Amino acid sequence: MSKNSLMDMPDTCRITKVLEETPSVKTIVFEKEFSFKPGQFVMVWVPGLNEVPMSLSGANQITVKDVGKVTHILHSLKPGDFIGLRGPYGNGFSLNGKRILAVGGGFGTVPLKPLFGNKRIKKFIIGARSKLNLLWIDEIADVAVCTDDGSMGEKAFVTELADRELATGNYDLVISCGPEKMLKALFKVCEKYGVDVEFSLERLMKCGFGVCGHCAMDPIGWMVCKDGPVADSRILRQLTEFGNYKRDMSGRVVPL
Amino acid sequence: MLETKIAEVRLRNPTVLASGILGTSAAILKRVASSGAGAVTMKSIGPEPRAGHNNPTVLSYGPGLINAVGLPTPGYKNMSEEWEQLADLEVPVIASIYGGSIDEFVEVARFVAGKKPAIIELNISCPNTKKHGQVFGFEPDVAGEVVSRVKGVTEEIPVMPKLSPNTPKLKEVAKACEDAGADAISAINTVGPGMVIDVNTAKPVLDFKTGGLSGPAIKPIAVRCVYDIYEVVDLPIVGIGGVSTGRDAAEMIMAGAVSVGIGSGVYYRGIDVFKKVCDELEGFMEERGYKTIKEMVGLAHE
Repeated sequence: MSKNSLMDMPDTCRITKVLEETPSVKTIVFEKEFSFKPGQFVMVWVPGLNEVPMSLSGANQITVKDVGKVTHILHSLKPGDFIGLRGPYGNGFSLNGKRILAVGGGFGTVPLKPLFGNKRIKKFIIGARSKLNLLWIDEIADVAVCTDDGSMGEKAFVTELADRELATGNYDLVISCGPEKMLKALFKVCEKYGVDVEFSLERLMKCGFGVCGHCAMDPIGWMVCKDGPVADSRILRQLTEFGNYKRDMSGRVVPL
Repeated sequence: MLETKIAEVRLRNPTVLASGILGTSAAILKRVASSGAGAVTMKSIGPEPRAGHNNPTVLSYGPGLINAVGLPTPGYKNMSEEWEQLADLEVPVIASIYGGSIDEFVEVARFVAGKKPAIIELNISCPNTKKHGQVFGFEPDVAGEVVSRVKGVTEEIPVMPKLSPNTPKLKEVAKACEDAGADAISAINTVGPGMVIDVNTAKPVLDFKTGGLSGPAIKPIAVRCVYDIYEVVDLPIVGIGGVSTGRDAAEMIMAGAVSVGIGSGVYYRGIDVFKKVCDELEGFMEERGYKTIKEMVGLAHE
């Protein structure tokens, strides 16, 4: 019972800065600073509207893609406005390797940002649908870029680039975040080369701290909020739900 | 030593996963069972798909949780995968159900009874929606009618209404449920409702504005309610509210419960709270010379 009572109640603070990263992605910087592990997330409350899980893209910032009602309101917020934050939650990346390949798929690059300078990560592969969706590629030293439409970097999927990299035998771990279908395909590639992975997953969440059960994945009841969001190879091999389906707000099973 | 019974349903130990916590899928219920629970309760099942409230829905204020999840449910017709996987669970499964009318309770109960859960729990005590829940549990005659109508369609499956602490007529409601044919009673659902306001923005934090309270902060209310119910009915009682240690469980049992629900305890001590509570309860019983749960039930009344 040594929980900090504020920890699981939104703590409201002011936004200090809003940065436009791409036409559909903004970074919101706030007063509060988290001590966190890359891959951990916070529950972000827009007072009076809704609360959503977001990866930390830094100790005092989140990066938000305008995809729905809540994120649209988040995009309209200005310095001086209040947002509520609780967390950080989840396990984060353990980085259990010495020669790591990091793969970011589109907006999935966000939780990898705090790892850009990490010495054990030998290379980043960043892919997106098009040039407009690529995040922060100028900030990474050793990066291979690809786009679905060829508007920047190689016209290819990240899985193709990853396959080529892993064929060199130079890596002992692949970390990634991105659309789940991409992660599923990437996992297949990594399994082919026998290289372990740590992938960050996403599910609808309510509590964020392992009691509501909404984000539990089949068939082992692995809770994305508390056991994850980062799953290793051993867990992914067991998750029959991975890459196939999820649950909506009612709890009903829906295809990905 | 820890074996107990709710109606004729045998439990390997008295800890029961309370409804509304971790009960969303067969997979997580299995995990709770393998974490040591004596029985598990599914999250309340309703007649139609329902998304529940927007977030924030579940928060902690320190000594307790406050929640207004708003009874999300896929609807009983859309849970075939869950029912299939629940069939081989190692412990009894309690199916919690709700409706927006007595007819809906009956409709859901009829279907759910066909899936042969060990017990059907009637959620007539949720404080977090306008049309469901505690509106059916505040008045003895209404609660009694829900129980007797549901009993008409459930055949041999025991029916257990879950009572609200938020009615001044708790004892009368309990008696009415017994008279209507209830096989057991679970108590309590969440207390309040309460409210938390963020003072920087002057806004209630929960999307539904108000929410039910649970956890250690409400345990004395739960113990009193179980004590009161034990005084007026002869039914087995599942005591729920703030139990997170073996001593809490012993307290609830001495108030009159044959088994104890654990919900918020998962927050305070992790998913293996069930095993921890059992180990502690066993230790307590050995130390005090109790050999069975049965001999502890209702001791506080003697």
